[in-house]
Amino acid sequence: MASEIKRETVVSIKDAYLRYASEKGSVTALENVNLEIEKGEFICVLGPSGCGKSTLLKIIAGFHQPTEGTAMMGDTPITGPSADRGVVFQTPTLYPWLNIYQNVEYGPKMRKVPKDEREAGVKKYLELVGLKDFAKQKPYELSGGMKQRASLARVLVNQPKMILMDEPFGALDALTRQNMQTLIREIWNKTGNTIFLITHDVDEALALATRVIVMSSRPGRIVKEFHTDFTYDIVGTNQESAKYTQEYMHIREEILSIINTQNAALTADAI
Amino acid sequence: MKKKKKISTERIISVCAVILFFAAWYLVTALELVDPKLIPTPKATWDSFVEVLTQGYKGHTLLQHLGTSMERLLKAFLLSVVTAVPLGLLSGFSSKIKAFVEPFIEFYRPLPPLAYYTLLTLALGIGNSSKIALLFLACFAPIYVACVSAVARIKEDYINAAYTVGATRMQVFWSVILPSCAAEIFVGLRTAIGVAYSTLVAAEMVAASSGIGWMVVDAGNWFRNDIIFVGIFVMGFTGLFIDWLLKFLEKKLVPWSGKD
Repeated sequence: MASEIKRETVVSIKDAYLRYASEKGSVTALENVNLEIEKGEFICVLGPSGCGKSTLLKIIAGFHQPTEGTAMMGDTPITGPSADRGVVFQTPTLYPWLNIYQNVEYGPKMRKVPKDEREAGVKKYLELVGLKDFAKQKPYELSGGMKQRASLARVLVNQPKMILMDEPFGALDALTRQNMQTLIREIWNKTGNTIFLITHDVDEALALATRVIVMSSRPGRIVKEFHTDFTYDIVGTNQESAKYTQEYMHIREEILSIINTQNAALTADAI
Repeated sequence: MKKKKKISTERIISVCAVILFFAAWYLVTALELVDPKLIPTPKATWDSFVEVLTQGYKGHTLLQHLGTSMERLLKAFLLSVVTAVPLGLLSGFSSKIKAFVEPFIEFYRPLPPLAYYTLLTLALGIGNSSKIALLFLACFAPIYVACVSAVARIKEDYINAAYTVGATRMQVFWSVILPSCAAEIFVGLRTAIGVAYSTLVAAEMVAASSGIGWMVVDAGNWFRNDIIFVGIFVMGFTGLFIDWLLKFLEKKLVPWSGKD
């Protein structure tokens, strides 16, 4: 990207700590996390389980507040959830008492968006995620991949400034997962949205992200960041070819070695 | 989906068990193994049933007795639904409301209804009010408890998802909490009807002159075991019917129950 383009920070986390009391005493879930998310970035977060990835997401979403430090959206502190920061959860949270159309419509309806406008929005985003023909279905009638598409549409329809996703494709089979990755990349390209996605799959992170953040556990902190651009190469070309470049292999190995060292340390701890 | 067409083995076993029960009843009475005054024959029970149905028992026909009881039950039930459901859901939603309400409910819930029934009759008189109040209290606790636990079991992400698309606390209560809890509320309603139904006889034992429960108690005083049998059968089938009705309503109103 050209450097003269003015960068706009969407979310900034400064010196954030999150501690909570447990039976074994105080636990530090996040330690000294600093993160600036700029408009249009696609951030993927990797790390061993229990490294505080989800905690970080919850702070950005506004479900938790940091015990020390600040979390800001633009110039305002994040004090609770808002439609500006849509969340796609690991397990779909579509309401079974509403059909797919009504589920997507839920946000605009709650915010009292006029009916015509609402309808146009819902139709647009159902089409975008490829669920136009499933509007009348109930969530429990859809496959796992379709449910996550619907969850995505439900978030997109509110035109959030940021989309947060917590291992959204974790429960999907390999093929569906790949389709979902393509879909989310396309949506990101089309809407220019800012995305923060947690994953445990290094290839998924490298295939999607413009920035990969690697976290470590106990306490959770950011250990390394990589700026990547494989996602641009993958758009429209053979997805596989980008994966076999020298650079890709190099970064992939570096990330894996960080995570593996972590896991080894954890195992040693456990023994 | 339509696998119910075929009659299941379990259903056949159930039907056989019931037939067996009636056959045993018939045999025991036909062979006069027990005093017919104690256990009337199926025929005598049927005759009494027809008699009570057409000529009545002590001034009221069977349907009138049943109607009186059902009116009491229904009024108490509806009253408890409109109070216990909101209060239970609110208690689940707000720990402060729960802290205020729960001590009273936890205290009265295990009390035997007859213990405070006398107080109710003294306060509300011997008419319908005291009976309805007793049944209301019997219904209230199970519904309240079911609602509190239903809210506690809602997936947190369901609520968070609503907030992240812009819903307010009030909207979350009506559009997420209430439907999420619907299935469990119905379980509470069914328990409540069961408890209230079993309290009905107790309620009608004191200062009543009609009602299906009163009929059974009164028949006992006169050693009319045939009438007791009729009363028990009628109460049993009515109970089954009410439960079936609630299950039917649940299927209609909460079609997503058990899915997803």
